[in-house]
Amino acid sequence: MPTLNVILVFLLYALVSTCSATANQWLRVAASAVSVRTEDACEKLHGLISRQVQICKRNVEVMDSVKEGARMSIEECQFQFRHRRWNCSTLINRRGPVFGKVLEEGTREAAFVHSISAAGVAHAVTRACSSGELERCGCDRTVRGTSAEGFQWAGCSDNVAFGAAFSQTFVDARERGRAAATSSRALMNLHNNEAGRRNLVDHMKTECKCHGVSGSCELKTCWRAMPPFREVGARLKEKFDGATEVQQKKIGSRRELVPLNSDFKPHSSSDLVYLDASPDFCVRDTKVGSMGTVGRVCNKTSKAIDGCELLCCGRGYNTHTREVVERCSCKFHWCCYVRCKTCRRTVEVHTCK
Amino acid sequence: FTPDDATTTTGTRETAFIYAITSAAVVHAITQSCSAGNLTDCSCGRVTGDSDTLPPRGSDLEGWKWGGCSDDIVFGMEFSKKFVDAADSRGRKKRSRNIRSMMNLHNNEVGRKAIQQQMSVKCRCHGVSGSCAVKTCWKTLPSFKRVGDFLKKKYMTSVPILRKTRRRLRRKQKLSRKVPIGDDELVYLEKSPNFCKSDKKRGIFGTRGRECNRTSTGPDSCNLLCCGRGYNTQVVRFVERCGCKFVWCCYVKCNTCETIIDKHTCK
Repeated sequence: MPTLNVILVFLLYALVSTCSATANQWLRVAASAVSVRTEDACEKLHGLISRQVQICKRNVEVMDSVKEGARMSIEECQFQFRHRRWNCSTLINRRGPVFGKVLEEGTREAAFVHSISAAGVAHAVTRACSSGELERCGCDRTVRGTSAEGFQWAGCSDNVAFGAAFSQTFVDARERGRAAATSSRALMNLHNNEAGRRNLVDHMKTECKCHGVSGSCELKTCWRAMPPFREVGARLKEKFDGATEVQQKKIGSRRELVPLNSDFKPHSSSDLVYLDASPDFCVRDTKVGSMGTVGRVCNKTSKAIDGCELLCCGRGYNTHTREVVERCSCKFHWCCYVRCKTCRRTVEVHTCK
Repeated sequence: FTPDDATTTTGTRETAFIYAITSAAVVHAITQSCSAGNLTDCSCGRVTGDSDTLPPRGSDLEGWKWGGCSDDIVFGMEFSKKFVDAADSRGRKKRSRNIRSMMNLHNNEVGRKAIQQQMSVKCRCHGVSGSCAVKTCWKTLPSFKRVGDFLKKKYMTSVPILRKTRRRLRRKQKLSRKVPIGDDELVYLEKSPNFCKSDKKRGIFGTRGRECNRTSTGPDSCNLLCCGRGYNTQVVRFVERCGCKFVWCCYVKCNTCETIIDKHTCK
């Protein structure tokens, strides 16, 4: 899909807003075409702060996984928000990379992007460990012996501890140790990064294989596996909907984020938190980072946010008919090919005014 | 809502429902008062069979007789027609009525018919030790909740109508325009607003603060009800008496149980 790639590159480029210290600038690494093979390459990666460059130099072999994690998380973000007014691709000011204020302010959207990218890096690094691409990590050796249910732990358990730890070192580096480490925004980012990782680490699955006679389960070996990244994305999307608005409070000598409204349930370590209310994203306003919903495809029959009524913010919609050419009534012919007819179907597409 | 509320001044599906349930409520309340003997102009109805299924004097074969106090909806129906419909039947000639009045009158009638349709027959046996050798039956009103449920279903399938009438209401949908509109179909003129944002002028309160269901996918779900704004979560503690036991003699001993649930409200 070339168009998506273009959007992606633009998005990544946009993510690196040079004026903002809080945006996920490092996500731009996903856009660099070459893989990172030497320490020098770390210097050339855009969007990293010096601390991250140092980490890169010490972990050159892991950087390709970081890139993959960044790519995955942006793709997942766009998937989860494809029916929302903010669809995770808000851009573009031609003169320079502006992701808009959405991520610069401490909004729910920023919370989601931080959490999904931290989870993405943890996921990608862990997978690289399991597939043997990295020297310094492999399968999780702590999972072994006989389980309480009576099966054998064997095979390659995903070493999510390593992945999460690396994500923490690399992704959180931006917020740690800075003079601004105690700012509300840094606390928010750290919390959401961790929430993203929690939603991966706390939902590991046990996968099993049976090796009894003709596949019976008398003999069973199992291993710990990460959930598919789609699942992590869906879970974080739910956390996005239930995110807690917080403020900073000094408790003793520590600064903590507490719910703005004390009646509301305190957030857990896997919940998302935010500081600023989001705009409604109805009209284009680059100052607040809203692209508006003009031209977006909407669902005529839905009453939810993807429906034309809400997505178009009451402005109404245009209807075009589009002809779709499909292959249909396919038949298998002996031996061995498939012959299809081409069918033309007209579909109605509704786009916001 | 109040009668001046915009919800009742525009002709939406919600308006249709409100008119129908109001006129049904008048029938229901008056009929109940009749049966309770609170009104001088009416009392229990004497049932004479009104259809093939209800024989005039009970059924000797099946061994039962009409008796007791049957709810008489005739008086209530007439009163509701006179009183509730009055506002919209000021133009004496049918032709001078505007489309909104016609819509209201139709929906009022749907409400009344809803009660009439759901009248049921209840029986009691008074044979030796409760056997059914002697049985009397009477007609009874449906519970108002049942009427509400019925009308809610009609609300979901209500019919849009044309503004131009030819003496009677016509469906908006071209294909079925010749099909007459039944007296169990609610009709409306305008599309409903989405009720998401508060708009005092139009009598819309918005959904901020409304309780929603996180796990549902229906209209009560946080996803739909909160219009994509997300929700807040509160922890609510219920203290109830539970596990109650009767202790000889004579008191009841209970435990107190505490349940903690998450309550979600729209942002």
